[in-house]
Amino acid sequence: MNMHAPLVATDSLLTRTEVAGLVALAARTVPPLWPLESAIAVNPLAGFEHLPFAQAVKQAATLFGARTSLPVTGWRNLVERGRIDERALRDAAIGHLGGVYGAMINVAPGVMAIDLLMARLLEEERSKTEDVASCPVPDAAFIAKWCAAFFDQSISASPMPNRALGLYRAVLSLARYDGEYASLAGRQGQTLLLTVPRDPYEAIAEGLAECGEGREPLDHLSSLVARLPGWAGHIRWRTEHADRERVTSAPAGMADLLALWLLLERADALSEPAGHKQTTAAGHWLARHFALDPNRLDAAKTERFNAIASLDDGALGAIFMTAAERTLSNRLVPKLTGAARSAVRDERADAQVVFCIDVRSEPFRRQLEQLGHYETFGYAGFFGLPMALHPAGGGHRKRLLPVLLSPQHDITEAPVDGKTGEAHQIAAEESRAAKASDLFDAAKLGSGSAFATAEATGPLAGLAMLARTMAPRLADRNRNRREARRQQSLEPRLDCSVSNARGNGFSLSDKVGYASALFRLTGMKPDTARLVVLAGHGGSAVNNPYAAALDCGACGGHAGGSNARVLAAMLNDPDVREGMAEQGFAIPQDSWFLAAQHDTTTDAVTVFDRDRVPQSHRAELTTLEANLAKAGKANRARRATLLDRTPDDLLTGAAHWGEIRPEWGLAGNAAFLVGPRHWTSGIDLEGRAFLHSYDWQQDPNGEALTTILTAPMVVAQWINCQYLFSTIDNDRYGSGDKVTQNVLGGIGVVQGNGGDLKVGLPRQSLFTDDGTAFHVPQRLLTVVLAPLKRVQAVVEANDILARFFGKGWVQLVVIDPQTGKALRWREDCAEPDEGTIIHSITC
Amino acid sequence: MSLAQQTAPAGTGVIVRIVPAALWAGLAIVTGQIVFAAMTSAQADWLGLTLSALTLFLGAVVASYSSRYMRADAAPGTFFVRLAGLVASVVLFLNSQTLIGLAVGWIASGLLLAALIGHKGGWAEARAAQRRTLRCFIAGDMALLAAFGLVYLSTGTVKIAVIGTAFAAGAPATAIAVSALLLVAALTRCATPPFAQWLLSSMTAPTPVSALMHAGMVNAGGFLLIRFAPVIEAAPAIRYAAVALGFLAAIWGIGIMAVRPDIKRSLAGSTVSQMGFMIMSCSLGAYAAALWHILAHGLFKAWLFLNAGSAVGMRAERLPALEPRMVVAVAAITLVAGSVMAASGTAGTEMVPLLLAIATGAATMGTIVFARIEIGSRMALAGMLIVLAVVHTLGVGVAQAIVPASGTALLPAPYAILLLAAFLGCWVWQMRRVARQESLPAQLYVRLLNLGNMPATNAGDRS
Repeated sequence: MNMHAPLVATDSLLTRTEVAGLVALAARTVPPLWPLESAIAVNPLAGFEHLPFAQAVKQAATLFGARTSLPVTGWRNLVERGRIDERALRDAAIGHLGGVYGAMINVAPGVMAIDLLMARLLEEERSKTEDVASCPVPDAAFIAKWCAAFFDQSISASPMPNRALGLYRAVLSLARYDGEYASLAGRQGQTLLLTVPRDPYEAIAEGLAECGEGREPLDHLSSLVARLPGWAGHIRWRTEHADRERVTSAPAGMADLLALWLLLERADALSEPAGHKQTTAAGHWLARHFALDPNRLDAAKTERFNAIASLDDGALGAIFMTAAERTLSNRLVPKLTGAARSAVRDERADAQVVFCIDVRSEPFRRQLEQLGHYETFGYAGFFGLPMALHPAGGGHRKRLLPVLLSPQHDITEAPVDGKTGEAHQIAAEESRAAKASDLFDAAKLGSGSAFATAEATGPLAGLAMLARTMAPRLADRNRNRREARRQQSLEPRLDCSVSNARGNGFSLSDKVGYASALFRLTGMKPDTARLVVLAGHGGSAVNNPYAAALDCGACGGHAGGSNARVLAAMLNDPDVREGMAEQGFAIPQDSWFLAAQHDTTTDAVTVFDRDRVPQSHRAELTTLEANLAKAGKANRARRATLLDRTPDDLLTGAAHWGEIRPEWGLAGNAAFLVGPRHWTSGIDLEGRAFLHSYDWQQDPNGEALTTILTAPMVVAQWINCQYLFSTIDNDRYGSGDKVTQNVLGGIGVVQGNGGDLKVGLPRQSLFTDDGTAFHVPQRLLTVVLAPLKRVQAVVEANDILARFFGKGWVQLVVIDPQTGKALRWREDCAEPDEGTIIHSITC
Repeated sequence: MSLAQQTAPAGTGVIVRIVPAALWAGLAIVTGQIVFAAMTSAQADWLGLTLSALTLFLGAVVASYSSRYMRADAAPGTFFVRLAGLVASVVLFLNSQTLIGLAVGWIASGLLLAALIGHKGGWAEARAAQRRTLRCFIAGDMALLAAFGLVYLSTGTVKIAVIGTAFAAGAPATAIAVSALLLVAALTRCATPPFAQWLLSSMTAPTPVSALMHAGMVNAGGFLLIRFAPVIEAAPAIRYAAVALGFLAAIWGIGIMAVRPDIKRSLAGSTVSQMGFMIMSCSLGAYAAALWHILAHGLFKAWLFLNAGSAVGMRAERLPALEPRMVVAVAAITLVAGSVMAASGTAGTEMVPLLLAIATGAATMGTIVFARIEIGSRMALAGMLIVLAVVHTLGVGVAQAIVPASGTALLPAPYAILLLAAFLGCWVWQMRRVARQESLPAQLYVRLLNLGNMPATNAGDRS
């Protein structure tokens, strides 16, 4: 953690500015945690990305009390099921032993080092470890309780007193009434309540001076931040990413949280940080298993024997993970090198469809491509539009863009021309529903009205339960119809955006810029097909706290249809086309752009604004829609086997309020492929790859590649790491079992009665019903089809890329389009190979 | 690379399918019995049948829901067997005509519920919650057994039907002792303070279990009080105590609900409150009102719990409130109406629940009429409210047909008016605070927030 000049606590207190600096640095221990209604995947170890991967995992595990790897039994399950090749595992084990020579060396007569290691990996007796939720320790429970009460946005009717004072001061004002504080902090704690500074920064300074003897202040604060990573992450979201108006009622920063922790520490109420028990006494087992007597080995052999016998689960897990990564690259890279010189079909396609790079698009694209001469593309699902949408009927604006960016344009949702009446009706219905739900909430809360409310609404609730349980699709149909009607009568309007309060709508040059970016980045040729569909995506799950995690991450955890509609509208605008032509992107007169949305849970595709399609294109649209439906059906059947259910049941699950796993989401994600579609179209990627279209020939100076690798790929890495770490320790880096989760409105979930806000993904998103990992924890494999020199220049010019590839967070393979040769980026710590930064993996 | 997962062991799969089917079948049978009894006007235990129908309906919904919700559970077989056992034991005690059957079903249901609260056995918090529940239930079970023992000793019978008449003529001291013990047993199941902690810390239970618990299981106390109404009516002192405890629980529970930031414990606070109200109604002698409350609240709460996953959205505007001035006006009018009823001697045992229901309707209607929304929407909402009022009236009517019209009145009219005034006064105070976004007094707030928290568990408790 010692990444900056050490600040040493002396007798004198740190100044406020110094403390503020330390707090800001310590805050980076955890990544921001977005509320579940707009869930964003983040790497729980984002604060450790400056370290090599293995080291980061280890340090974070110590700090967070987490595991460093999936338990060995979990890995073995994956090997048994063929998800990890045994040969790849052997190769990885050999690699661990320093190559073939080190592996073949005899530890005892007839027993080679590799035999010992393989036995430990696959055969050593292991008790089955059950993944159980941890319980908050009293000090953490105290702070978590107050965080929940303070930050609550919607569930409690009676807000926490003194909230306007900020978290720290509000808790100070209440703690003297809190019996839990009294038993935790004792008499000293009561005295402290009266004497500690009211300013959190000053309180931190005092706390550090009192409790920080001999400790680096930054490390000290970082370890405190890491005690409740969920709430600390929530605070980071509030201070760095939330719209102001959403957080003003409860002002709090990381300093408040740290001041509370130091209050407890000064009262001597901190518990020992939780650690993970590591049992490694494999020596006896190994000796027995190979019938050898370790005492009779010579010194060198004993050393080798002990080195293998003392490998902990983290080290064994690292071998398994390497094996998983090799399993994928051994299967994928040869196919990709083989297809490197594939040629594009030159005739004009029947239609072109641009999908999100999301791993769930790939299998759908494959199905669609088989049904006609359809050309598909992968592009970030927000379609390059950094916008926020203000929904009709009020409510918070939705930030429909990746969290790396901030909104540049505020768009209003307004009635479609000619549908004002219907839009008005929808608005009235919505306000009526909102009023009814407000009345219900108010009535069920009142001490005079709560009882009659329950009695009067009970029978209706009974009918609703019956319908939603026995006929969920019927019960859900109304909601779907309403949603469909809403989509038809309301649209994100480009022209009213200028008139809104923020006054930052799209100018013509903006529009031309965003419209041509599609072609610049994806390498799509301007001679487009007669129909071009821009397909965003979203999931459909009911009664599911993690529904937004199924939506488009590039759209800030929302469905991507609105962005697609805005870009399609731009691309159909004659003025925009004129401007594009001046930049060299002359789109044929007869091309029509359409927006659509792919429902990843049901595989249905909704096409927007159909009635604007010119008469001349109607027949083609009908054919295309029929084929989209066919592709959806085929893809649903494919996904059904993965979920171990019938295809029809997926439709039921999408509407059923009890469905715990409506779809697999991005589970399985493992690769990020940058290149034209004809390069990958012959390979079944099994829904495990993000596909970003790219044509190196149209990107001579590497600008597009820079964008692709520094934006969409970074997001893919966040997703990949979220899945990876949520899988290896579902309690600490994930959110545990969904069935015992308890929702905090507008914020997230806790487990059971309370405790830290949960981060990451729930168990059901990652593991199959029998407890085997469905998501194989492995690091992202990025494969770029482009000349080596260009890739190298891009990577070296961008620190984040050099770090990702150099420190082993992402593996980079570059395939040269001319030679078809594959080269792997060498990690910083690996042995230099002939002095180059890249070494060949084809030989 | 085969990604397809393997299916669970065959035996478990069968259980997972059979339990929901069996519960729906059970519901069909009980419904058939009810229809048959209604058409032939045959002698039937209506109280037992109606509550069995409710329990089986909730059990069946919860089981069907769980067949999706619990699909990834580590021990689905155990879960479904316990669920079925829980429903069966509740149906057993509801329909038992003897003390023995009642006691067996009662105790079994408690043990099974506690086991389901601790279903995630590897989790220390779940085990602690299970232990807490068990301790409370065992206290209640002891009280129940002691009460039944006393009844048997003093009447010499275990037949519930004849116990009532025996007690009407019996010694008041025995009646008081038995009633007190029965009340303790009822309060432990209804999670009425001082027995509320188990329910407030039961969020370790999987969501469907919570639904069944809050909707089906907590009613057991109310059932007990109605079943043994003749005994308890012979002990007015105990009824006064029950009214007082019920009233306090009703208000206290509202307080818990108001301060909780999490959806599940907020609903638990609501259950404490609703059950308190039900106990109070029972003890006032308003059995029909209490029975209807049990039935409707069961459906209401199960729905809210099963729907708890939908609570993630953040509300845009400030919290809603009924128009405070409207509440003040309605409260005043209700109080006047109550006084008139009391003075004219038309106030029955059901006056308090009845007038509160009317006040709720009136305040809601008033808020709708003055709401700043279109006239059409206002009409629609008013229409919905009228439908709800009709449903409610019908429901109370049905309940009146099931239980003996009403018991002997407990409170003299002026005290009943005071009770009504207490509810209305709290309501006015509360709505004004909510409307002004004021918090509760700090000391009270902290107290309410901490209710149900687990005593500290040890660090590093994890495998």
